Amino acid sequence: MPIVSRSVGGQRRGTVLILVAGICALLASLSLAFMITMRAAAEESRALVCDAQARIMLYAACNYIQEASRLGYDNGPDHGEAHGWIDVRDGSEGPKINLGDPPRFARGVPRRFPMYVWQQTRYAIRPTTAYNPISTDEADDSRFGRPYLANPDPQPVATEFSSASSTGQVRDHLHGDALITPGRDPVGTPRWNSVNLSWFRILRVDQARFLVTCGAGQTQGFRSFQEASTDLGADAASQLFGDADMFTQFRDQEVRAWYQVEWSPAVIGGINNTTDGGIIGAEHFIMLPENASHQYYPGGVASQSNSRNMVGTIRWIQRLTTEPAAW
Amino acid sequence: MRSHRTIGFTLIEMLIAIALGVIIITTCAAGFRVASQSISVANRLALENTLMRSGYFAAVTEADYWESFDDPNAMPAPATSLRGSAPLTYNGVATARGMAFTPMNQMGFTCAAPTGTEADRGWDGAYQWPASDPRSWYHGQIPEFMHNIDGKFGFYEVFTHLNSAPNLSSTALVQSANLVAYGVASPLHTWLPNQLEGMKNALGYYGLYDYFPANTFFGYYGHGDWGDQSLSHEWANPDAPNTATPNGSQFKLSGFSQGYDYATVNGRNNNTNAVSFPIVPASGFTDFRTDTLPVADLVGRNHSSWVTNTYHAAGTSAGVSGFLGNALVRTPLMESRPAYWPALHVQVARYANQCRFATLCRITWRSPLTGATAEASFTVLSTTLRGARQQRHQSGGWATWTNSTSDPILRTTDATLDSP
Repeated sequence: MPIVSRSVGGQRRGTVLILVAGICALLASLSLAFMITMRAAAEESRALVCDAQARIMLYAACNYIQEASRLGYDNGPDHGEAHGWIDVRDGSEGPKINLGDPPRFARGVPRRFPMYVWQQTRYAIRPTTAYNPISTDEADDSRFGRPYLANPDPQPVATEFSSASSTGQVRDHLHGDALITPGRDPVGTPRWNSVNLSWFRILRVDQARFLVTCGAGQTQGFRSFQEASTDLGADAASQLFGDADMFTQFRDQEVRAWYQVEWSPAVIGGINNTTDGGIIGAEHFIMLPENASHQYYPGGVASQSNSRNMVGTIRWIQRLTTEPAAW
Repeated sequence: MRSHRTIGFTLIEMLIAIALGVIIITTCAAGFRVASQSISVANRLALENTLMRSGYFAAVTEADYWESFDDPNAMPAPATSLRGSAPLTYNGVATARGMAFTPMNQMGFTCAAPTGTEADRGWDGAYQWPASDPRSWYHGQIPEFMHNIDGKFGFYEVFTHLNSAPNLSSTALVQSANLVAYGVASPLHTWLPNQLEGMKNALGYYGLYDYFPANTFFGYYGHGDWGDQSLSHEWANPDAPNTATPNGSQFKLSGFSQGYDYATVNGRNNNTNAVSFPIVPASGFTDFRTDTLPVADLVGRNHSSWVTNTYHAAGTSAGVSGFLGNALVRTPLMESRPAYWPALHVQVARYANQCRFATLCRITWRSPLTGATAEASFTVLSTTLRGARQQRHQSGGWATWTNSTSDPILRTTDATLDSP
């Protein structure tokens, strides 16, 4: 009987099997460790990204508070502007266009601002690098090598913008993809991959003081499923968040931070205004804002971008150490 | 019948098997080595990423809570801390000076019962400085300023003054500017000058900039070189950069940009145009070990600026190097880390420059194996000094702020650093 020879062949095959299995196990364990490490790193990175997004919301909220002190209330033909959260005319509570009007942003009523990117923003321009390239066509003697500024720069995304017959396109250009509803702020169509990432929420707590909640996550700034149901309707809330338990999961996964912020009607005067340089120079009344893209320089022209910041400043910010009762 | 079949290997079989085995083992070893190296690299990068993340969170947490500058849980405060105060003498006048985290009531600069009139003194945290309130207006005319005398913003001292009954009969100034001697006057506006003076003394220069509105002109008449008819040089007459001075370029609130003879009352922009006004912490993690300074020295440095926008003093104690040595807190994280882990430091500096309040965060990690150093720097919008002071309880710990649905105003029942 070939018992011996079968036994030897079996030993060979078994050895190879053990070797192969061992190497595979080794590689598998290394791969598993690698993937676990990467997975953990990705989870930790997600926390960092969410924190950064929530902090960006603080910038957005402060910008909103500044601009809403004057802008955004022009629904009528008079193109009115408000005059600050504390009305600069008489110290009453604003913002309002006419003295005696009620404030357009009430105390104690929170407002949510889920943030996203529009498909096409207002005043979108084409990402064209050079609208007027110098011609390299030697056959065209009239244009070759000449830096003609034949085309406007920049140009809107809306086609035939300058055409008299393109009223619709002009409107598209001015409004982007906003859904214009009379009496309401326009709402743009969000890019699908920019929704449910971050939001801020503002509760006006005093004349010029605000409780800003900054968030990064999927709750869109709702405190609870109940609040979402009340605000959006039960069906819409269910479509967005499923049910109360799922909303709680969303809430637990997101980053939230609370800040107290005070707005000031004071705007910064700039370099060399109403001081020595401004008196000597020609730009006595030019105010260079804090964040001007143009720098003052002797003999320079103060352009539109050097105009003064007209929407107030953020006077102080306080991160709250605990969640307040109402926000 | 007994089989004669061999059970061993032939030499050829052995040679081929050995050759194939060597090839297989070499390939496996090489593959394993590459896999190990890849995983080692990935782990090292993951470790560095973890350190970067840790550094980021440490930096932004510091940005929001200012614990490198004042640790509310380390109470009572150390002998040298930003909660202290000391008298400083300027222009022959000694005044008690505080720093960024000195309680207002320790400096006597609180307003327990505000009336909303010019007679109020001290800090009222509830007041929101409406633009319609004439108290907060600047009463002066800077274009009228006169060179080489101390009537720096027009001769309006009869209208606005630090003192309620100033003597405006200075012979020297009247003759110099061909003015009329008013005698003892009763200026209508005394609130704003006293707010400026009180805040400067209570919190130092950075605190003064932080607490006052963006459009503030920093200057007023009172206790100047010509008595009631001039303003102190501390407000409007910059010194030349003094590279020999260890604690900053000047003990003044003025920038250098206007030249020394042309100096006048400035806004925050001009004052911070050429120099930086930092908060100098009492920290063992600054290059100059500012935690070992006498309190009066630390107070002096928090009433100083450094020349940071020019080259001539860059390497001096009055320039960037002095600024960084005083102001940059370089906190090590994980000091007891494994020896082969990178060294991680988080640096946060707070200063006013070019009209901005900068919170400069810098994360640095250095490999002990290669010596390679990398860093990430960023600034972040976060809690301001006033916010940080409101976060803190006077006697240590954090103040709790909350509200209710019926009363949305955020309040605290704890005594903060700004409370009376």
